[in-house]
Amino acid sequence: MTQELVDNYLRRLRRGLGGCSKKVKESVVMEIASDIDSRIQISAGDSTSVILSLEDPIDLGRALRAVHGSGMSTRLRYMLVAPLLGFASYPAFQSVIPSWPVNLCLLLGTILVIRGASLTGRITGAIIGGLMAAPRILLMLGTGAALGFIQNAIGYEAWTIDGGTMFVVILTSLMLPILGFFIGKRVSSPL
Amino acid sequence: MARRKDPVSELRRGALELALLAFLDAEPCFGGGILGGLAEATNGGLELTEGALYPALHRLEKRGVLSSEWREDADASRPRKYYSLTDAGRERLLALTAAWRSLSDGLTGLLGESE
Repeated sequence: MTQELVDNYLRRLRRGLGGCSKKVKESVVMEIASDIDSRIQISAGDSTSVILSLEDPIDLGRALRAVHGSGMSTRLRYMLVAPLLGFASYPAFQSVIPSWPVNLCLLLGTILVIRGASLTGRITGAIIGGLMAAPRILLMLGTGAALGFIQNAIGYEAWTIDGGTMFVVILTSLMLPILGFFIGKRVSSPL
Repeated sequence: MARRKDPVSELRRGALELALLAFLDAEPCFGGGILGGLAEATNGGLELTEGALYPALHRLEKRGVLSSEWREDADASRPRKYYSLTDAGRERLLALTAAWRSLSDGLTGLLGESE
């Protein structure tokens, strides 16, 4: 029972530290585990009262994450996936392949930006959002320019991008870095 | 709506760095020991939560004011992480102590006059 309570506390602490590097997580968990052991020893083995007297492990983990920041591997993972989802959420793909899940990709990308920003903070959140927005905007501008060229060169006008679609794609794309910035709020911590 | 912070907590938060440095200047200590020791040394005036203590210790360590090492104590089943002051920490303690004394003297005079 004692070990189960402690393990559960440490498991939740690890969750609060989500996004930190493995080295930081292990060091923090080891430190808190050893301090919990000491307190249980002092309280003559009353682990329940010790665990109940401790700060919420998720809050503690978050406060420590604010000190250590997110690990490079976490940031890289989000930064690599964001442009892929940005690319996949480009609406013109649906014109070529009607079953292409554009909205699902956009939704997944937005969730990725929110999750990434909440784990890694404001600046990285804005970068993740920007990395998802960039391929959408570049593809939109590139497609518009290419279709304009085709129309001028050979007079083929079956494929066009209307101004409204272009506006919506650029607007939703520009919202992504802003979303990342505001979701990645600072965690208040002492000192 | 912005959450209003408890003024007493804010005061404690402001004094936390000085309290930690002063406590650790006497001898190196681990997190759990600091929690109990600080409360005892300040007659319960500075009872910290883990959420205030550990981030503060880690931040001070990152700033180079504290250093840490893992030690195997005979009375503990796991190694403990002991914190101690660095040279920069001792300098900071002197500077903060002087600032605190000056502030405290000024405030004591002010509060004395207002009573």
